Amino acid sequence: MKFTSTHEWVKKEGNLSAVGITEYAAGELGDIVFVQLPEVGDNVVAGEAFAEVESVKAVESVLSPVTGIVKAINEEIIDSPELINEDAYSAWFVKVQVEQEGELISQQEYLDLIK
Amino acid sequence: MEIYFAFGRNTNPYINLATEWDKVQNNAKNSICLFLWQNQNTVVIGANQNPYRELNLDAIKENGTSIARRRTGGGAVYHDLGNLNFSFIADKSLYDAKKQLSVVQMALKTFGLKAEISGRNDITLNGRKFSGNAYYKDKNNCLHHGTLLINTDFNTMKNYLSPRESKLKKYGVSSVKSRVINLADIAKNVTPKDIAFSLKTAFEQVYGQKSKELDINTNDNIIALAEAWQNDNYIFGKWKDFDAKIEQSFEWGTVEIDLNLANDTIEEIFISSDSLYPKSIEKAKELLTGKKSNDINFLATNDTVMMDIINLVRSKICLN
Repeated sequence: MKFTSTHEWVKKEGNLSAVGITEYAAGELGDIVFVQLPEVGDNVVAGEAFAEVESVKAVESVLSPVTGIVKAINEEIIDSPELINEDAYSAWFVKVQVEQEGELISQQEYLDLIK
Repeated sequence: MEIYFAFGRNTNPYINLATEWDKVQNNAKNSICLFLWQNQNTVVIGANQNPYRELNLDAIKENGTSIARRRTGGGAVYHDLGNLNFSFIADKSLYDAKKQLSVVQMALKTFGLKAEISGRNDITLNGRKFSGNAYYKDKNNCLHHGTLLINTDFNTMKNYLSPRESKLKKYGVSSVKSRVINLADIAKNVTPKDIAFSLKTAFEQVYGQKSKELDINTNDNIIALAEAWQNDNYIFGKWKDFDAKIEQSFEWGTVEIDLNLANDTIEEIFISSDSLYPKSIEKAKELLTGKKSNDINFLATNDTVMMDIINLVRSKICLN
């Protein structure tokens, strides 16, 4: 699993990559009440917003760690956004066929960043 | 750091929301803006709210009141000219909700009002809410905006923001009801204009400099956004496929129907009725559950009660 400095994670699963937000981000947002996802077939661009999460605090855009095409979206988090607060690393947002990675950092680098 | 201020005089909700968003999209580096604005009678819903679920649409439509959807989260609010809206638009590095709220607190102090921050999103006076706040953060810029109830018509507010009870699972973000208060009830005769001037002074004081004038002239981006945002498709679009609430009287009794449409299929349907034909009601429910809206066109039965219900559902969900 790799990370971005803007609190997203990306994990290779076969020929696709799952993308989500980090536990730290979910904690900072507070209780998440709504998630807006792109559609299957949409293009995502590294460093650009591809989703929005609404928490009791704010609406925030989620930036894509990679450039590519959305191959799957997680309908479960649409129905139950609280899953992201419960386990941010299982609650993937989208699975992307990656064309190019953005600026990714290692787990250790990420942990240092949020220290 | 640069600070910018404007008090908009346009009361069109779509233009105002579009102007605010244009400033978020185009905020200069290292600058913070305070934009004040007022809407003529308008219900404003949160970014992810279901208007069918949160509002009394019949009353709103009957009075020709506008409905607008904002980009920030949270619940539904009512704006009239007794309400003043403030928007702080800040470069991410300058964004500080507490500091921004201190501007509001300082401005109100001028009128002897001791405002308290309550929870995350409310500003209260004696425990009663007069300001709801909401936030948006994107890559570079942040928006923090809120209402200030000064002399708003609470009867209308209450009427518009009271939806009919529904039995369906909640989808979308719910509004939270609060006890509200108008500032003019405490600081007699205070007007939105008075508070606007006081906010400007407090803004300059908190940020330690004179403000420059924020350009709020209507540009092409604002016009395009306002046009898109007053479209029913933006306000209701993604929701119309999720819910319908139907109420109708027939010779045999009155029915109330709640149904949930997903992917054009009736996923859930509740029918309550005072009729003497509970079996027909139950059968109609079974028949309609899991049907695609197109398939309803082909349903037929000799049972009058069932047929009336089927026709009613068809008229509502095949309309759009």
